[in-house]
Parts: sequence; structure tokens; C-alpha cells
Amino acid sequence: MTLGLFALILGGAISAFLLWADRNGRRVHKD
Amino acid sequence: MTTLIKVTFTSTAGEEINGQAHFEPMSELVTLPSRLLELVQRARAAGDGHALVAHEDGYRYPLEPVEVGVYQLDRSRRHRQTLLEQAWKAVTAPTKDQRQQSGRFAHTLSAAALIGASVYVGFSNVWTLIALTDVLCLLGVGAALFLVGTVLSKGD
Repeated sequence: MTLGLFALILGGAISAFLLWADRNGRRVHKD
Repeated sequence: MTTLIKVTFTSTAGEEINGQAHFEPMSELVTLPSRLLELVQRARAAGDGHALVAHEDGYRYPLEPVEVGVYQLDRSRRHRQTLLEQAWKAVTAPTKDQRQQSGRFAHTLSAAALIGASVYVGFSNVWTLIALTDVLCLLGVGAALFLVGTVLSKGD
């Protein structure tokens, strides 16, 4: 696996998770 | 003497609302403000399950209804979240401040990816297709993480 592919997979996974957590946090905390 | 105590309303509709309520330390009675009382009545009318807990010294105390708007603090069923529970909640359902910190983390990773791409360009003597793909991937990840960081830092 090349460095670029590794960065793409890791960065993509982190981005997707952070966006999901952001949406979930906004839904749960309405105060 | 009446003091204020933090109260959290949660319902099966997915709501979690925090507020402050009047608390009588002697009788341990909590009187809900009208805003929280409306939420309770609305949840009852809609048939949604709901729960009220009070927070004191890091512990969560379930509130048992005594009369309309007045609840008894149930000290026998106090509960404190463990470190792992707090960490799990912070990651999966972050508060506004935690979301902003996640945004800063994404921006840090974005900067690291861009610096990595710059170093790659600076130290790469032979430009193969793989080297070019690596640099483009790092630049793409840096841009994507920057955008994610801006979304998370929105602040509301």
C-alpha cells in the first residue's frame, strides 16, 4: 500500500466519522 | 434555602434537553421550570417514553414525580458515568464544545497532510506515477479534512 492510499483511507474514514458524530451530537444535544 | 440544580430531560424521540430547576435541599424536592414541564407534558401527550435526571457532584439522580411539576430526588438510585462511558459519549454524541475541538483536530490533520505533501514534493527526486498519486492523495485528504474541520467548528 502506498502512502497516498493509506492517507486517503485513513483521512476519509476520520472525515466520515467526524461528520457523522457532528450530526449525531447536534441531534442529541438540543440545549 | 432554595438552590438551583441541573436537570436533564431525555425522551425516546431522541431529545436531550438540559435546564436548571429549583431544588429544596431539606425536602429534596425539585420544581421544574415551565419550559421543561412543557416538554414532559408534550412527551406524555405524544406517548413517548421520557426520563428526568438531576445532576449533583458528577452523579445522576432519577427524579420521581410527586405532583405536577414537582419531583423527588431519588438518592438510592444515583448513577455516575464511568470514564469509558463519558469517552464513548464524547466521541459518538459530542457537545458543542467537543465538536469544536474535533474541528480543531481535523484542521491539525489537514495541516499535517499538506505539510506531508510539501515534504514529499521537496524530497522526491524521481517522479513516478506512484509518487504523483501520493502527493495528490495527501493534498486531497488535506483539503477534505479542512472542509470537515470548518463544518465542525460552526459553533451552533
